[in-house]
Amino acid sequence: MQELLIGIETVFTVQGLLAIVIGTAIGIVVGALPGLGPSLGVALLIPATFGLPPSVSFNLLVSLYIAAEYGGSISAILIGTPGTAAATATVVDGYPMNQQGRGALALQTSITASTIGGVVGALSLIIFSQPLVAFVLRFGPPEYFALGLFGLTLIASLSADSVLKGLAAGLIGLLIAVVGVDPIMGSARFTGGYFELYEGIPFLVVLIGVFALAEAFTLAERSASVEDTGGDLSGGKLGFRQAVAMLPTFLRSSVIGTVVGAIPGAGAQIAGWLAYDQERRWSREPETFGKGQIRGVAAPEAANSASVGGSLMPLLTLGLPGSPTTAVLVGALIIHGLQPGPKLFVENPDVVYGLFVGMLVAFPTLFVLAIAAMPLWRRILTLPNNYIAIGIILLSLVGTYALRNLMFDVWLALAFGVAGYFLKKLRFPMAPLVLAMVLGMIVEANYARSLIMSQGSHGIFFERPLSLLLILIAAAALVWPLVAKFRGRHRTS
Amino acid sequence: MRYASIVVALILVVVGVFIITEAWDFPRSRTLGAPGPGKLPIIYAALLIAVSLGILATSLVARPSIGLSLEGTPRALALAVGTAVCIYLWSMVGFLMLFVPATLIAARLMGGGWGGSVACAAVLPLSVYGLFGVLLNIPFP
Repeated sequence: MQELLIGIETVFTVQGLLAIVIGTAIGIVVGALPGLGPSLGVALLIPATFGLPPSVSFNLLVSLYIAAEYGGSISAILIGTPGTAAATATVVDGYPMNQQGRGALALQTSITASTIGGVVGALSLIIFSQPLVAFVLRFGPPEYFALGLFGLTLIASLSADSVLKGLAAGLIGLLIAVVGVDPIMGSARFTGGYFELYEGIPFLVVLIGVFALAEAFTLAERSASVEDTGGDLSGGKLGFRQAVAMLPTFLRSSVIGTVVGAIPGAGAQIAGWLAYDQERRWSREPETFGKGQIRGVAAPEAANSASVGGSLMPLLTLGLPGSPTTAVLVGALIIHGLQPGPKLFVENPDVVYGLFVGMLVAFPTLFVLAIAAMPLWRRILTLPNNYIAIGIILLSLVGTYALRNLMFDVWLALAFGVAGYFLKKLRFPMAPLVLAMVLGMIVEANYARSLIMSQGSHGIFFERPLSLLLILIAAAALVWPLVAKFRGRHRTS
Repeated sequence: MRYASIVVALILVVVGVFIITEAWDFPRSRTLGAPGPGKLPIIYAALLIAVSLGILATSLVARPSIGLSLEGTPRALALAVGTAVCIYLWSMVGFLMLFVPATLIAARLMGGGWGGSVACAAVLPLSVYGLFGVLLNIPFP
């Protein structure tokens, strides 16, 4: 309770509340514009938080994350193109609703579901993170190494259609993470004589390069904006009784979203589809799904918003990012001089509990802003790509420079942007690269510490029960997608 | 797509080999039990070579998939080159002096109308400058 009071003190200041409102407003737009998304939004906004206290910065970034997950549904409903991967399931019924002239009802259902789902996710985070932290505080370097290893196995699940390309991207991320002075001996590695690389390649530079600049170059390929497909936004609205009748859908999907979100590597997209599928199974009229069924919008939206709270659980308690956006958030914490993981609860309670309270404020703020700005969405969605691309480039260049006031970083970001653009064209996923870069630092430092503890014996990883368990889980997580793929092929043939 | 994947896989193999040869010469560890600075890079690079060879093999064996679309790539590359020129000139010319006209030119070249391009050139650089240069007090080059 004492800690939550710290959180309330942190959030209920002019700066704290303003951060949430601004983060939410930017997040909705970033989420709504197809091709952008929460990872890019958070990466671009990090440099703007340098002058802010860490607790306020983190609330700003998480508010953006929350709102962007919702924002994806706006374009899913209005133009049939999900703004974020999380909103793919929303298209199935949301777009037909818009075509039937029930776009306003779909949008209101989506924001109501997102708000309820988000609050459920946030409450779960508040309730379950404390016991998890007490458990994780027993971890030593071998357990952290094993945990990092487990995190790396998630690359397979983040690799979309090509596991090999995902693994290659992950290994590139690991190799980027070893550039600079090594943590034990202090030898410079792969710096090419550039003193700017002695501290390693800054995480933000890579992030801005592969997420923001690469996306700006991709957007520049087409000058046109998305096509406005019409639909009526003045139609029926979501009434109180209708919302109450859908409460079981909201709650059921919120629980699914929270649980799936907490599983590293699963993410909001899977949460949305699972909730959609469950809702269809529970429905008395499953044949109406896919034809504009309102619960087909409510379920995935409640789930993907609830997954935000779930995904922050491993991040805050274990320091383990389970998705691209949480990997970016880990980077933001590190840039602010904070160590993600259980010690954050002890050393920086204002950040953790400020975040808890901030999330509970962010979702109602999202509701108010989304309802108020509904008439604007069509205009925002028809913004031409070239203006968005130029805006992203300007923000990227200045944001990268602001990190260390070095033009070297700006050149580096451009190089990563061009490389990221081509790798994306060749269907190399960028999420594993970013995730591996974060985990590479955890793995290397804890690997070295463990071996020093055991005087060079690798047996230390297998002698400690927790470490052994985590290594077994990691092995299973690595092997399972391959087994599943093999079984799938076997069945098809 | 097949040939592009083969080229990328070969580049990654070369990168892997380069990393291993570089890391091989790193000093050995003097702390009891600690891994040397080259150990993990060598492991990662060896894995990268293995995975790249896997990509190479699957690209050679697999049925031709959807081709690599290069439509719009010249526009994207032109924007990247323009960005590089701007980065080069930034410290010589100054942010607003450079990016207001550069944004106008880029927006026009990318197909924007005069009205939108002028608005974009006025709003975007000023907003970015206002946020970072004025509010956050970042010393621009």
